[in-house]
Amino acid sequence: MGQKVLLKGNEAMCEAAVQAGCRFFAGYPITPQNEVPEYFSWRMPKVGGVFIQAESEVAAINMIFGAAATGMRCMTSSSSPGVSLKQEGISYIAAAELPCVIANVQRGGPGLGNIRASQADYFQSVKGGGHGDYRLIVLGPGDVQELFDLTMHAFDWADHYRNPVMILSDGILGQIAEPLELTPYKPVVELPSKKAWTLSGCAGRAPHVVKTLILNPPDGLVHHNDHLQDKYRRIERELSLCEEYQTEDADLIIAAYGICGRIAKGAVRRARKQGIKVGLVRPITLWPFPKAAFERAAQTAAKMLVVEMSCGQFVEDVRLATECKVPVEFYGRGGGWYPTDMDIFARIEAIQTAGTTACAGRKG
Amino acid sequence: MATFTRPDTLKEKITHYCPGCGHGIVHRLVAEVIDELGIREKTIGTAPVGCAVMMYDYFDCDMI
Repeated sequence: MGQKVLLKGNEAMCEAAVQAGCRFFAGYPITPQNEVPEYFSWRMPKVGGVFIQAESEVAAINMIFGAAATGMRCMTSSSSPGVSLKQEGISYIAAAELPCVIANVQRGGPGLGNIRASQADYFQSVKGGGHGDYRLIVLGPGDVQELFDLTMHAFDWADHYRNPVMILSDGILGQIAEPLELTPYKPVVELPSKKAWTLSGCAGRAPHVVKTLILNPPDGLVHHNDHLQDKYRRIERELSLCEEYQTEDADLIIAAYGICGRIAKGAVRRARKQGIKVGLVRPITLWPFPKAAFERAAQTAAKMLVVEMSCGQFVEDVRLATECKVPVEFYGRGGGWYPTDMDIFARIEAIQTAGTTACAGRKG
Repeated sequence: MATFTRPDTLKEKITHYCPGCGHGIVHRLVAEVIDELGIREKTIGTAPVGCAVMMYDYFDCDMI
C-alpha cells in the first residue's frame, strides 16, 4: 500500500512522473494545466531533475526531443491550443522513435476557446495531429488514481515501444482534487536498454545519429514507414485497456472515456436502480482502440450510446469498431460542455421509450 | 611548417554542398575547434534545418 494523499489531477500526474523516474520537464503555461509546471518547478530540483519554463510550446517539445535522445525519462504538458503548437515536434519525436510523455489537459476549442474541460482533441491525439503516418499511444484516464497509475505506465510503454505516449486529460480531471494512493512505481513491461541509440558522446563507440530526414536510398523513407507501421501493429496486438462495466446483460451499452466515462458510470448505476439494463464500455487506451470490447458489445447489446464532450469524434471509432452491427446513438457537444449523470440518464430513458420496438428483434 | 589536414572530427566524406557554399568552411572551423578542445567524444552536435541538416553525415560525433 502506498501513502494516501489528496492531490489535484494535474499534481498527481506530476508526482507519478517523478516516481517513474522522469527527470526532465519543459513546458509553457496555459490554463487548465498550470499546476503541472508549478509542481515540477519545485519538485524536480528536489530529485536532481530539470525543470525548464520554455519560451514557447514549440521550444518545450523540441527540448523534449533533445532530452529523449539522451535517454532520460522526460515529459512536457500543455492544454489544447498549446498542444496544437507542439504537433510538429511530436511528429519528429515519433519519426525518430524517441520515448517521451506528452500530457494534454484539454480545454474548450476550437481556437483559443475557453478554459473549461473538453474532449475535443480526440482526433488530434489518436489520428495524428502532426504530419505523416505516425501514432501515439493515447491514454484516457477517468479519475485521479487512474491518472496517477497510467502516468507511471506511460513512461514504461514509451521506453518499451520507443514511442511517444500521450496522456489525454481534461480540465476537470486536471483540477479535481481526490484522495489518492501513491502506488509504488513498478515497471509494467520489460524496459530495454537504450545504450544502442542514445546520444551521450561517442567515447569508445561509433557516433550515434538521431534523425528524421531520410533521403537516401530513394525508398529509405518507405522502409522506415513500413518499420513504423509494423511497430504500430505490434502495439495494437499487445496494448489494449478497457473497462467493461455491467455490459454482460445490458440492452443498452454506453461508450464513453475519460471523465465522461466516469460521469456515464453514474448514469448506469442510476439506470440499474430503475431496473433498466444499461452497461458501459470505457476505453482506457484510446489508441490502440480496444476493439474487442466493442465487438463484444455489438454482439450483445441492442443499442449503443456514445457520450463525449465533443461534437462527434470518438463516436466515429465506435462505429468503425462495431462495424454498424448495432445502432450507435450520439450524445455530445463541444465548447467546454459536459453532461451530468442525470443528463445521460434522461437520454437512456428517451432511448428506452423510443427504441423498445425497434430493438426488440435483436435480442431474440 | 603547418600541414593542411582533415580535422579528426570530420569524416572522410565528400559533402553535397554546392561550389562556393560556406557550409563546408564553417564545418571545418567547428571541427577544428572541437579537435583543439579535445571534446569530440563528449560532443553532441545539433544539425539545423536546410542544407546543413546533413552535417550529421560529415561530423564524427553524436548528432541529432
